[in-house]
Amino acid sequence: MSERFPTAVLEPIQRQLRRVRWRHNGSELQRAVFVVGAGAAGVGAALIGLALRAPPVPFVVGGGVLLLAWLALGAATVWRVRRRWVRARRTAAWVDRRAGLRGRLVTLLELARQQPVAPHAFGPLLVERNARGLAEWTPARVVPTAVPRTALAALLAAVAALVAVLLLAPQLRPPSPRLVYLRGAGDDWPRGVDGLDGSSAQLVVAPAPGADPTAAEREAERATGDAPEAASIVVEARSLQQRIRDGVWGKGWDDGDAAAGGGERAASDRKRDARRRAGDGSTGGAAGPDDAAAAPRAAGSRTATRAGGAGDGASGAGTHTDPNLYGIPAILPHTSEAAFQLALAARVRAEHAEPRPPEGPAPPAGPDLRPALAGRQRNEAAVHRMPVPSRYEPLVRALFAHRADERP
Amino acid sequence: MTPALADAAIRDFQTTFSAVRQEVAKSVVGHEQAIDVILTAFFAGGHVLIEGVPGIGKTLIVRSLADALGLGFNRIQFTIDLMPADITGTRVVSEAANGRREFLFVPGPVFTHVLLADEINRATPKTQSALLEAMAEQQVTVAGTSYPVASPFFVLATLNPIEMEGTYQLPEAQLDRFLFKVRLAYPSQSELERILATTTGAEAPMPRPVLAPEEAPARVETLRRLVREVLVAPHVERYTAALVRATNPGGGRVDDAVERYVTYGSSPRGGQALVLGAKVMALLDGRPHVDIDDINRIVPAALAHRLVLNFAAETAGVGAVEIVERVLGSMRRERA
Repeated sequence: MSERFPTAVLEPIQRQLRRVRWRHNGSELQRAVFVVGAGAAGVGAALIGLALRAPPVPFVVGGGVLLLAWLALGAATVWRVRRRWVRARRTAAWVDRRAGLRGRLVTLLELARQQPVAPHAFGPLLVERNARGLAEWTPARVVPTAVPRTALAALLAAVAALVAVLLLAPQLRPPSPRLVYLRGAGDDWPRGVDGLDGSSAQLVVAPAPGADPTAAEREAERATGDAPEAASIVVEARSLQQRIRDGVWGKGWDDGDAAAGGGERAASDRKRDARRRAGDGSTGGAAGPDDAAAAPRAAGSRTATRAGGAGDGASGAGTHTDPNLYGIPAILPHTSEAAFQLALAARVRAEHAEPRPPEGPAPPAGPDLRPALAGRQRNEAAVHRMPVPSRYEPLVRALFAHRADERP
Repeated sequence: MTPALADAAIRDFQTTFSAVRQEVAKSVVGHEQAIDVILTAFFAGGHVLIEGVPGIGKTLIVRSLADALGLGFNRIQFTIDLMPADITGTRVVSEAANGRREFLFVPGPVFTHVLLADEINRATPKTQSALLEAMAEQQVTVAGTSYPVASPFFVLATLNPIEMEGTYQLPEAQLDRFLFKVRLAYPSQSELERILATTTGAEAPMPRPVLAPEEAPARVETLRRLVREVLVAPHVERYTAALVRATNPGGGRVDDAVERYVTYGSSPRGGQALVLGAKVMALLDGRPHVDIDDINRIVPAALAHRLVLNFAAETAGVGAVEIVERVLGSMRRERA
């Protein structure tokens, strides 16, 4: 410190300068964090919305645009912070301009840094004016708002949008594969699948369009032609979309389901999961809270397998067969070249919807080890999947549909 | 100097300055900015070159200024046959009381406080150069003997920009010795009406001397010393040096216009003119220190006449003031 100016005057000035600088730089940092956070939340909300509602290609395009926008926002924010960041050396000049001190502060501090050469006639006046004018540039005056309100409001709005999207996500779930029931065993097959009346729920036909990752990938590959890299990006993006959907809606959200409404669908999901877990309870696996009731029944069902009558499923196997027993059905677009894969709904094996509780004595072990084989093969041998030209879809669906009251 | 004394000295400077300005304004209609620049140069210790068409009050401004300041005034009408001795003075043979003959120096009109060199570009370069030493070193050398000019010494030279036939353009060295160059604009309608009203009456308004004639030179010198005491921080000096260098082609950060149109930029005297003028501006604003804005305010008057433009500038119709404004603009942007 120079001897030209008294330290008692310079120290409070420099302390106040530090406080102003911290307040300003802190405010700039907060603004940057808020803006980047708002951008991330907004992009996240839009991305989730796209993932839940959009087909793969728009999701890829929209996601790319959103990602680029967010990166641009981040870069602009970093540039702005760098530009507006006040370094210690330049703080006095910055405060001077900001508070309209006409160079009073920076002149004092710059002259104080110099080695004293000769006394200045106006030095004492400059010191006195600076000491007296400390209140003109307090941190609160120079940086009136320590917390950038606009950026904070943007962040809160973006977070609210993200929460809203997450809360509304179940409503955004696309329709499950349709299973349509027709009333009356003697009814003829419908003339067209689209003409079926869902209110007469007796006839089960193959599931309606749903998401099949493999089909989508094939479609994407066809769309991108010979560009393997682009196809890879699309596949990756599609995989991300699938992961988002799994994360939001839960794993297996795209399994076929005969339930009609959202609430019924959720209940049906739980029942179906319980049935499935009960069915392969012997294979182990983690059981969730909903599985708690199903697990003991699954364990006991092994002893009651033989107790049922002919045509009845064993108690552990469930009484209704999963419509997607042979895999998730997929429908390809109805283009002339496209084929669709028909997943055959399994036959209904029992009337009851719940696994039967174990009853009676345990069956002997011998028959379990060597079960009696059927005398002949069933007439209807299931073909799990078969590519069929799409123009035959209504016909094939009608042909392979099962009546609800049909017994094996 | 205690803060109270310094404050009082600044107030005294402001009072004197504004009083002189008011007195000059009694007889000169309009030209307020030009009068401010001329007074700034006067208190900064420099000289001013005034450019304007005939009849717009160049001579009147200078005479009024001398009257208001209570200082001595001389006028030299420069013509093509004017000789250097007509300005500086000459030695004549004189006979002393004892009958001995000796050379006696008869001072020329340069020995005064305020000198009006009217239409300076009508004299030959040799005659124009007769003013060089007086303006730069406050002395005149005749036959090997140096004679100091009066203090304060203030030269106001006028240029007529429309009658260029039979004129000699001022050499760069002489131009550089003028602290500022002022262009007097043609008066507006209302100013012209006021000129007609004030100059055709029975009594023309005359400025009263603000400073008593006997103490005026000393007071002016005191005020000039006060100007020199104004504080200039290193960052202002850095800025000024960068600004002056920026007017030179190849002088670091150069505006495109400088590279294209300027042959020679401002000399270091341009920087001195900027700082001195800014010091006066600071005092007028009641400050004991120079701000960068003070420098910026004085740039066109201090630098434009120091630039030597090339033929490309002439053909493109680009003037020195325009180039200086562009340099100033780029400096301001860089600073922001």
